[in-house]
Amino acid sequence: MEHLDSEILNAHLDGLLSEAERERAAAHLSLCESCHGELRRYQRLTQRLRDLPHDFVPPADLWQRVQARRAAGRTWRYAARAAALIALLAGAFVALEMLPDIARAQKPVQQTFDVVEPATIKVFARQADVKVVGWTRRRVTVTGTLPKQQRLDISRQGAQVEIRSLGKGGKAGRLHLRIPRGYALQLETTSGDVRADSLHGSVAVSTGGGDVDIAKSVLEQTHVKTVSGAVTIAADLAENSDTRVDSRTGRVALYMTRNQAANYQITTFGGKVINELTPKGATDLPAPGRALVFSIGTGGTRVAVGTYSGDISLLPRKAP
Amino acid sequence: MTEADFRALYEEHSAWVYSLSLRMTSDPQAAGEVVQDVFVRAWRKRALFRGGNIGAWLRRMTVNVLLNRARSERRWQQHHADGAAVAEIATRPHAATEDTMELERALKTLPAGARTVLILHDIEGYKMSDIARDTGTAVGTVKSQLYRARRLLRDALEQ
Repeated sequence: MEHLDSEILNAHLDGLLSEAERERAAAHLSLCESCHGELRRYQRLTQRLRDLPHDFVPPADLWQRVQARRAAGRTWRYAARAAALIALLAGAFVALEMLPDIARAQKPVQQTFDVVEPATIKVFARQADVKVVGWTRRRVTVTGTLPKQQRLDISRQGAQVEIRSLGKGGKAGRLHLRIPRGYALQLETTSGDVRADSLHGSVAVSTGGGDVDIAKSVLEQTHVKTVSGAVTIAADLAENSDTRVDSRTGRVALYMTRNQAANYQITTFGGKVINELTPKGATDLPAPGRALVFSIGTGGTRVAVGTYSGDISLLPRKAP
Repeated sequence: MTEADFRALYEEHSAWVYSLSLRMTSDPQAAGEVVQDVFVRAWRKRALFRGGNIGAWLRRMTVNVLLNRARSERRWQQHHADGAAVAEIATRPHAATEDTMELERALKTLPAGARTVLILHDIEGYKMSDIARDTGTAVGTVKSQLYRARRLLRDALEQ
């Protein structure tokens, strides 16, 4: 019996064989212990490689060094002096920057895993500030710091991934997630700020007192809920999508492109409404508790904003 | 691109540029230099960015900087025998297992081209077509380099 060569085994592993080749390979693998063992060895190897740590933390003064190099392109004499000064200041800055972390007894967090099938990423972050950035890889990375009393727990069940900080106590941490663009995100914090960039999908964010800032994204179904945090959304809305923001006392600002068609329903009991999206300009609600309803363009995209006393601003932004 | 845009670009992408560079060079100082090269180059060439995926644009630049560096200075070869540099990566808190150190050491023994492809595909998770574009080679070449790298790596680990 002729064995499968390593190229066929690797292509099989990477899912690159044609259907006929795959069937031939599978038939051989079911009979040949040797080739099957070889395939398993390659599988173990690629798994070990995937599990290697990612996202090493760059030195804190690297930005200053980049700036110094840029300046060097202009006048090297100036840059040489500036770099020395910047390095000195950076050293002092880094030392000062580190002090609070030391005092708060934070520990680094680092997790990476692949998500092959489209999934919902659920994040329960307690008081941590969370930044979520979408990227084109089918991989999730979580980096940052958490209080020593807490730990990160990641569980996966079917098409759902849960990322949860467990344990009580300690000051707020910082988490930075990268998730595949197009995957749904559900995020809860009690008081942490949430910043989301470059997402393309459904987003649900709930926070007590943290601010929520969503930018550079294309939003499908969106629900942002906060008690007192400020909400800022500067993103494109997908056709026929629903965007809903509920806030008790926090202000809400939506920055929309002029050509963003949507049906708006704005409600506040005691907050002010500034509407610069339509030619009429600033708009007061007819009476407390009543809704301001208007449409721009046609289509089924819906935007609903409701606050108790938070101000609501609807402002234009330039198309990216 | 304004100063603020550039700062935001750095904030968003510097961590993975540094990670990739550290994995390729095994040297934190060299990795820091690569990050500087990449972002200074990105700033100077900002007018050439035609829109689209800026991460892919930066990745191409990073791979180019790394490959140029490898070609001109042969840094990889210098670090093959440099146990200290390997330990620098492997002794970080999240990487301090014997298993990881063994794998990092074995990675250093691979030829630069094969190693680049293996790191980008198997560790960083990029597609073969993207790697081919970044490295200016054909997809078939990327595939054969990747499979050669896996075979060499497996052999190195089983020695």
